[in-house]
Amino acid sequence: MIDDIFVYDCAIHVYDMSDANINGADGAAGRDAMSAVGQRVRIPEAEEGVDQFDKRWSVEAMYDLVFARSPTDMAMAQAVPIFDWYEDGFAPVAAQHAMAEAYPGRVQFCGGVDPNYHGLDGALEEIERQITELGAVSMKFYNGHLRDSWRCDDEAIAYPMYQRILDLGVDVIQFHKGIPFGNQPLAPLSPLDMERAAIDFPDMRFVMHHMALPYFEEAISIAGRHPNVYLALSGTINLVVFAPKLVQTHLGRMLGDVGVHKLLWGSEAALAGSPAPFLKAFMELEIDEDLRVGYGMPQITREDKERILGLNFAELMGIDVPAKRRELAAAA
Amino acid sequence: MTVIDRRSHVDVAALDQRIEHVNRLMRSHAGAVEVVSVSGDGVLTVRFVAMCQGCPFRPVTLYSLVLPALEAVAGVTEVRAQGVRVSREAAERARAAMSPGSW
Repeated sequence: MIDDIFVYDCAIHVYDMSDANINGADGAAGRDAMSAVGQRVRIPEAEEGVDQFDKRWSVEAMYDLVFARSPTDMAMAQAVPIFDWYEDGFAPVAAQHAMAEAYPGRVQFCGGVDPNYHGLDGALEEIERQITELGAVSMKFYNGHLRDSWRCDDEAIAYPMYQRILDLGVDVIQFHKGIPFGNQPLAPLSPLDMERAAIDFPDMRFVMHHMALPYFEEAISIAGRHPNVYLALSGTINLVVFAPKLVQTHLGRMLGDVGVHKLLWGSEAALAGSPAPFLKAFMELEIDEDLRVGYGMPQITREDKERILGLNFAELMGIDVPAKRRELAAAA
Repeated sequence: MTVIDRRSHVDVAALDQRIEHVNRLMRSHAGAVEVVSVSGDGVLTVRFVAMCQGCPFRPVTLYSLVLPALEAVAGVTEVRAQGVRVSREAAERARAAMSPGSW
């Protein structure tokens, strides 16, 4: 809790950047590219005692970073099915599941598959295994790769996966959009291919991560017009410390044109470091007068922050927040 | 689902008529508003639907058409519109610009 506000972090990754997980001739370069993204947004003062970030994270170290060092109440451990440079994926399924198993009251497990890496039949089997055997409550997709990218509105590849997920009782799926790593081409990470999918699967809720930067205008338009598309501020909100005016501009647009009920807090820990300094900066954030007067952007309120930091994602995931607060207070 | 608190003094028949009138105009843009709720103290909440959803010109439609029409309904004390949110400064500017005689 920060200032008595419930915090549900929609995106943490128990990732594996160890040498043992590096894959192929370009693996080390790919790891360096991903590492550089994290380095750009971390706050060294908040990482005291963390020896390195390019490693295989343990569930205990993740707990320390996300819950002990930061006022986070719940988090979703998300698999990241990037196999471009990683043998077992950047954030392996088993590691996310282990995190949820270790801290069941605080962490939910989000699975992940890739239809080109696993093959469609393999992806469907994995979806079934991850939901029915491992208890995944959501699924994460990463459709843009060095090669073999796929479209999120591909009726032959993507739609069977969405249908299988719905059939298994899960109705929240998540997509990394924008922010390519290394030499991954940008175009497949455009959010435009989520629109047709959101229309064709009205019972599914689609979470678009990273505000799809640099496709911000596209993200705003899609999330503003389609009731089942949500925007996760994951990682990009870390810029609040370094470029507050940019974050104010993003938030002002989203509050005005998308609606606060569609916005989700995500830290991208561990890659982006401890969530603590960013939570503090977000609580202090206001929309400056020049943006309010010149662009008509609304002021952000405490109620907005409550929704963004936890209530929205809790609603999506069916979490009873008052009950969860009581449960966590009793456990403490 | 529309929720109308029966304790309010809002003239519901007049409200329905006014919404229909507003939507007749908005239909030219394939958009519309619909009533979400009327609270006991007369706060009317509407939402933009169809092509108005996500349209960047919603604030203009709100201040030029929707608010003047719905605030005039007997018993309505305030109109709120889901899906449109601007700064206080922008709202004051818009109201001033849309007021009679401002041009």
